[in-house]
Amino acid sequence: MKDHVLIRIGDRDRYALEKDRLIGDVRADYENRFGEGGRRDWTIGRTDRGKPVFSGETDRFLSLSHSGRFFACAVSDGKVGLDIQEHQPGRYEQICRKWFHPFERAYLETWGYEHFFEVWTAKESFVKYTGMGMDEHFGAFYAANENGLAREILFRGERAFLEHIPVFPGYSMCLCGEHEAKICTVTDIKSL
Amino acid sequence: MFEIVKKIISEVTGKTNITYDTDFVQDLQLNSFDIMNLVCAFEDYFQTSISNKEVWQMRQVKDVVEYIESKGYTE
Repeated sequence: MKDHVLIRIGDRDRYALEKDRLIGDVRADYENRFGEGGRRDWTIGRTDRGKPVFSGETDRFLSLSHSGRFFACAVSDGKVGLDIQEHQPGRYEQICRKWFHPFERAYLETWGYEHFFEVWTAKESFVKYTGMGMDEHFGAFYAANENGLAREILFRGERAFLEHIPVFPGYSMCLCGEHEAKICTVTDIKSL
Repeated sequence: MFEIVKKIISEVTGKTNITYDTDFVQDLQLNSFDIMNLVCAFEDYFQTSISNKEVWQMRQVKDVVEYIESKGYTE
Protein backbone atom coordinates (compact mmCIF):
# COMPACT_ATOMS: atom_id res chain seq x y z
CA MET A 1 0.00 0.00 0.00
CA LYS A 2 1.26 3.45 -0.90
CA ASP A 3 -0.07 6.80 0.24
CA HIS A 4 -0.69 9.42 -2.41
CA VAL A 5 1.02 12.64 -1.46
CA LEU A 6 0.96 15.98 -3.23
CA ILE A 7 3.64 18.46 -2.21
CA ARG A 8 3.51 22.01 -3.43
CA ILE A 9 6.36 24.45 -2.89
CA GLY A 10 5.96 28.19 -3.20
CA ASP A 11 7.14 31.59 -2.16
CA ARG A 12 7.08 32.04 1.60
CA ASP A 13 6.03 35.69 1.60
CA ARG A 14 3.00 34.92 -0.52
CA TYR A 15 2.12 32.02 1.73
CA ALA A 16 2.26 34.20 4.84
CA LEU A 17 -0.37 36.49 3.36
CA GLU A 18 -2.69 33.87 1.88
CA LYS A 19 -2.12 30.74 3.92
CA ASP A 20 -5.62 29.27 3.94
CA ARG A 21 -6.26 30.05 0.28
CA LEU A 22 -3.04 28.34 -0.74
CA ILE A 23 -3.80 25.30 1.40
CA GLY A 24 -7.19 25.20 -0.32
CA ASP A 25 -5.50 25.35 -3.73
CA VAL A 26 -3.27 22.39 -2.85
CA ARG A 27 -6.24 20.44 -1.54
CA ALA A 28 -8.24 21.10 -4.71
CA ASP A 29 -5.26 20.04 -6.83
CA TYR A 30 -4.96 16.88 -4.73
CA GLU A 31 -8.61 15.97 -5.27
CA ASN A 32 -8.24 16.53 -9.00
CA ARG A 33 -5.19 14.29 -9.20
CA PHE A 34 -5.90 11.54 -6.67
CA GLY A 35 -9.35 11.96 -5.19
CA GLU A 36 -12.78 13.20 -6.01
CA GLY A 37 -12.35 16.01 -8.52
CA GLY A 38 -15.53 17.81 -7.59
CA ARG A 39 -15.00 17.64 -3.86
CA ARG A 40 -14.80 21.10 -2.29
CA ASP A 41 -16.39 20.54 1.11
CA TRP A 42 -13.33 20.77 3.35
CA THR A 43 -12.79 23.21 6.19
CA ILE A 44 -9.40 24.39 7.33
CA GLY A 45 -9.34 24.50 11.10
CA ARG A 46 -6.63 24.96 13.71
CA THR A 47 -5.33 22.73 16.48
CA ASP A 48 -4.80 24.10 19.99
CA ARG A 49 -1.26 24.99 18.92
CA GLY A 50 -2.48 26.87 15.85
CA LYS A 51 -1.49 24.17 13.37
CA PRO A 52 -3.75 24.08 10.27
CA VAL A 53 -5.73 20.86 9.74
CA PHE A 54 -8.61 19.65 7.60
CA SER A 55 -11.35 19.71 10.22
CA GLY A 56 -13.20 16.49 10.94
CA GLU A 57 -11.58 14.41 8.20
CA THR A 58 -9.94 11.02 8.65
CA ASP A 59 -8.77 10.46 5.07
CA ARG A 60 -6.98 13.71 4.27
CA PHE A 61 -3.93 14.96 6.12
CA LEU A 62 -1.93 18.15 5.94
CA SER A 63 1.61 19.15 6.85
CA LEU A 64 3.29 22.51 6.35
CA SER A 65 6.86 23.70 6.55
CA HIS A 66 8.78 26.85 5.77
CA SER A 67 12.40 27.88 5.63
CA GLY A 68 14.40 30.51 3.80
CA ARG A 69 12.33 31.82 0.92
CA PHE A 70 10.07 28.78 0.56
CA PHE A 71 7.01 27.23 2.06
CA ALA A 72 6.02 23.61 1.40
CA CYS A 73 2.59 22.08 1.84
CA ALA A 74 1.83 18.33 1.74
CA VAL A 75 -1.66 16.83 1.39
CA SER A 76 -1.99 13.06 1.74
CA ASP A 77 -4.52 10.31 2.27
CA GLY A 78 -2.32 9.03 5.11
CA LYS A 79 -0.86 10.66 8.19
CA VAL A 80 2.10 12.76 7.09
CA GLY A 81 4.90 15.05 8.28
CA LEU A 82 6.90 17.33 5.97
CA ASP A 83 9.98 19.43 6.60
CA ILE A 84 11.95 21.74 4.32
CA GLN A 85 15.07 23.49 5.53
CA GLU A 86 17.49 25.95 4.03
CA HIS A 87 21.13 25.02 4.57
CA GLN A 88 21.85 27.84 6.99
CA PRO A 89 25.17 28.26 8.74
CA GLY A 90 25.03 27.07 12.32
CA ARG A 91 26.59 25.19 15.19
CA TYR A 92 26.04 21.78 13.59
CA GLU A 93 28.34 19.75 15.79
CA GLN A 94 27.05 21.34 18.96
CA ILE A 95 23.41 20.81 17.96
CA CYS A 96 24.27 17.24 17.03
CA ARG A 97 25.93 16.54 20.39
CA LYS A 98 23.02 18.05 22.29
CA TRP A 99 19.98 16.81 20.36
CA PHE A 100 20.86 13.96 18.00
CA HIS A 101 21.03 10.21 18.61
CA PRO A 102 24.56 8.70 18.85
CA PHE A 103 23.90 6.78 15.60
CA GLU A 104 23.20 10.08 13.82
CA ARG A 105 26.39 11.54 15.21
CA ALA A 106 28.22 8.48 13.86
CA TYR A 107 26.65 9.09 10.43
CA LEU A 108 27.72 12.73 10.32
CA GLU A 109 31.20 11.98 11.61
CA THR A 110 31.57 9.29 8.92
CA TRP A 111 29.96 11.07 5.98
CA GLY A 112 30.51 14.70 6.93
CA TYR A 113 28.50 17.52 8.42
CA GLU A 114 27.49 18.73 4.96
CA HIS A 115 24.78 16.07 5.37
CA PHE A 116 23.49 17.69 8.57
CA PHE A 117 20.23 18.92 7.04
CA GLU A 118 19.36 15.53 5.60
CA VAL A 119 19.29 14.21 9.15
CA TRP A 120 17.65 17.35 10.48
CA THR A 121 14.72 17.31 8.03
CA ALA A 122 14.22 13.56 8.58
CA LYS A 123 13.96 14.08 12.34
CA GLU A 124 11.72 17.11 11.99
CA SER A 125 9.41 15.32 9.58
CA PHE A 126 9.11 12.43 12.05
CA VAL A 127 8.18 14.62 15.03
CA LYS A 128 5.65 16.40 12.83
CA TYR A 129 4.27 13.04 11.72
CA THR A 130 3.86 11.80 15.29
CA GLY A 131 2.80 15.18 16.64
CA MET A 132 5.17 14.74 19.57
CA GLY A 133 7.00 17.97 18.82
CA MET A 134 10.58 18.83 19.69
CA ASP A 135 10.80 17.43 23.17
CA GLU A 136 13.27 15.43 25.20
CA HIS A 137 12.68 12.43 22.91
CA PHE A 138 14.23 14.19 19.90
CA GLY A 139 17.51 12.39 20.53
CA ALA A 140 15.90 9.05 21.41
CA PHE A 141 15.19 7.94 17.84
CA TYR A 142 17.48 7.95 14.84
CA ALA A 143 17.09 8.79 11.15
CA ALA A 144 20.60 7.70 10.13
CA ASN A 145 23.44 5.49 11.27
CA GLU A 146 27.03 5.11 10.17
CA ASN A 147 25.91 3.13 7.12
CA GLY A 148 23.69 5.89 5.77
CA LEU A 149 20.31 7.55 5.98
CA ALA A 150 17.45 5.44 7.33
CA ARG A 151 14.44 4.58 5.17
CA GLU A 152 12.25 4.14 8.23
CA ILE A 153 12.09 4.98 11.91
CA LEU A 154 10.96 2.63 14.64
CA PHE A 155 10.18 4.35 17.90
CA ARG A 156 7.91 3.44 20.80
CA GLY A 157 6.25 0.75 18.72
CA GLU A 158 5.51 3.16 15.90
CA ARG A 159 6.97 2.63 12.42
CA ALA A 160 7.24 5.42 9.90
CA PHE A 161 8.75 5.70 6.44
CA LEU A 162 11.08 8.48 5.34
CA GLU A 163 11.46 9.86 1.85
CA HIS A 164 14.24 12.37 1.15
CA ILE A 165 12.98 14.48 -1.72
CA PRO A 166 15.46 16.40 -3.89
CA VAL A 167 14.57 20.07 -3.88
CA PHE A 168 16.33 23.33 -4.75
CA PRO A 169 20.10 23.74 -4.34
CA GLY A 170 20.86 24.78 -0.78
CA TYR A 171 17.74 23.13 0.65
CA SER A 172 16.82 19.70 2.01
CA MET A 173 13.33 18.27 2.31
CA CYS A 174 11.99 15.07 3.86
CA LEU A 175 8.56 13.47 4.04
CA CYS A 176 7.52 11.04 6.77
CA GLY A 177 4.45 8.84 6.56
CA GLU A 178 2.82 5.71 7.85
CA HIS A 179 3.34 3.96 4.52
CA GLU A 180 5.69 4.37 1.62
CA ALA A 181 4.43 7.16 -0.60
CA LYS A 182 3.75 7.89 -4.22
CA ILE A 183 4.79 11.52 -4.28
CA CYS A 184 3.98 14.26 -6.74
CA THR A 185 5.89 17.48 -6.22
CA VAL A 186 4.79 20.74 -7.80
CA THR A 187 6.66 23.99 -7.52
CA ASP A 188 5.18 27.44 -8.01
CA ILE A 189 8.65 28.94 -8.21
CA LYS A 190 9.53 29.66 -11.83
CA SER A 191 13.04 30.99 -11.34
CA LEU A 192 15.71 30.93 -8.68
CA MET B 1 21.19 41.38 30.72
CA PHE B 2 18.57 42.23 28.10
CA GLU B 3 21.18 44.00 25.96
CA ILE B 4 23.49 40.97 25.98
CA VAL B 5 20.66 38.59 25.07
CA LYS B 6 19.48 40.97 22.35
CA LYS B 7 22.99 41.18 20.87
CA ILE B 8 23.32 37.39 20.75
CA ILE B 9 19.92 37.00 19.08
CA SER B 10 20.80 39.64 16.53
CA GLU B 11 24.20 38.10 15.75
CA VAL B 12 22.83 34.57 15.36
CA THR B 13 19.58 35.29 13.51
CA GLY B 14 20.25 38.61 11.80
CA LYS B 15 16.98 39.89 13.25
CA THR B 16 16.56 43.40 14.59
CA ASN B 17 13.69 45.17 16.38
CA ILE B 18 14.08 42.91 19.39
CA THR B 19 12.25 43.92 22.56
CA TYR B 20 11.78 42.32 25.95
CA ASP B 21 8.40 40.94 24.82
CA THR B 22 9.48 39.68 21.40
CA ASP B 23 8.23 36.14 20.69
CA PHE B 24 10.79 33.98 18.88
CA VAL B 25 8.27 32.21 16.66
CA GLN B 26 5.44 34.69 16.25
CA ASP B 27 7.51 37.88 15.93
CA LEU B 28 10.91 36.75 14.63
CA GLN B 29 9.54 33.84 12.56
CA LEU B 30 12.28 31.53 13.84
CA ASN B 31 11.97 27.82 13.10
CA SER B 32 13.22 24.92 15.21
CA PHE B 33 16.71 24.97 13.71
CA ASP B 34 17.05 28.71 14.37
CA ILE B 35 16.01 28.20 17.98
CA MET B 36 18.41 25.32 18.60
CA ASN B 37 21.21 27.32 17.03
CA LEU B 38 20.34 30.22 19.29
CA VAL B 39 20.24 28.01 22.38
CA CYS B 40 23.75 26.80 21.56
CA ALA B 41 24.91 30.41 21.31
CA PHE B 42 23.40 31.21 24.73
CA GLU B 43 25.07 28.14 26.19
CA ASP B 44 28.42 29.18 24.76
CA TYR B 45 28.21 32.75 25.98
CA PHE B 46 26.86 32.04 29.46
CA GLN B 47 28.76 28.77 29.90
CA THR B 48 25.62 26.95 30.93
CA SER B 49 23.56 24.01 29.76
CA ILE B 50 19.89 24.49 28.94
CA SER B 51 17.78 21.34 29.09
CA ASN B 52 15.36 20.38 26.31
CA LYS B 53 12.41 20.96 28.60
CA GLU B 54 13.63 24.44 29.46
CA VAL B 55 14.33 25.31 25.82
CA TRP B 56 10.73 24.93 24.75
CA GLN B 57 9.47 26.95 27.70
CA MET B 58 11.40 29.98 26.43
CA ARG B 59 8.98 31.58 24.04
CA GLN B 60 9.91 35.22 24.46
CA VAL B 61 13.11 37.20 24.96
CA LYS B 62 12.12 37.94 28.54
CA ASP B 63 11.98 34.17 29.26
CA VAL B 64 15.66 33.88 28.30
CA VAL B 65 16.63 36.94 30.35
CA GLU B 66 14.81 35.59 33.40
CA TYR B 67 16.29 32.12 32.93
CA ILE B 68 19.86 33.40 32.69
CA GLU B 69 19.35 35.66 35.71
CA SER B 70 17.89 32.74 37.66
CA LYS B 71 21.14 30.85 37.02
CA GLY B 72 22.97 33.61 38.87
CA TYR B 73 24.67 35.18 35.86
CA THR B 74 25.31 38.89 36.29
CA GLU B 75 26.58 41.40 33.74
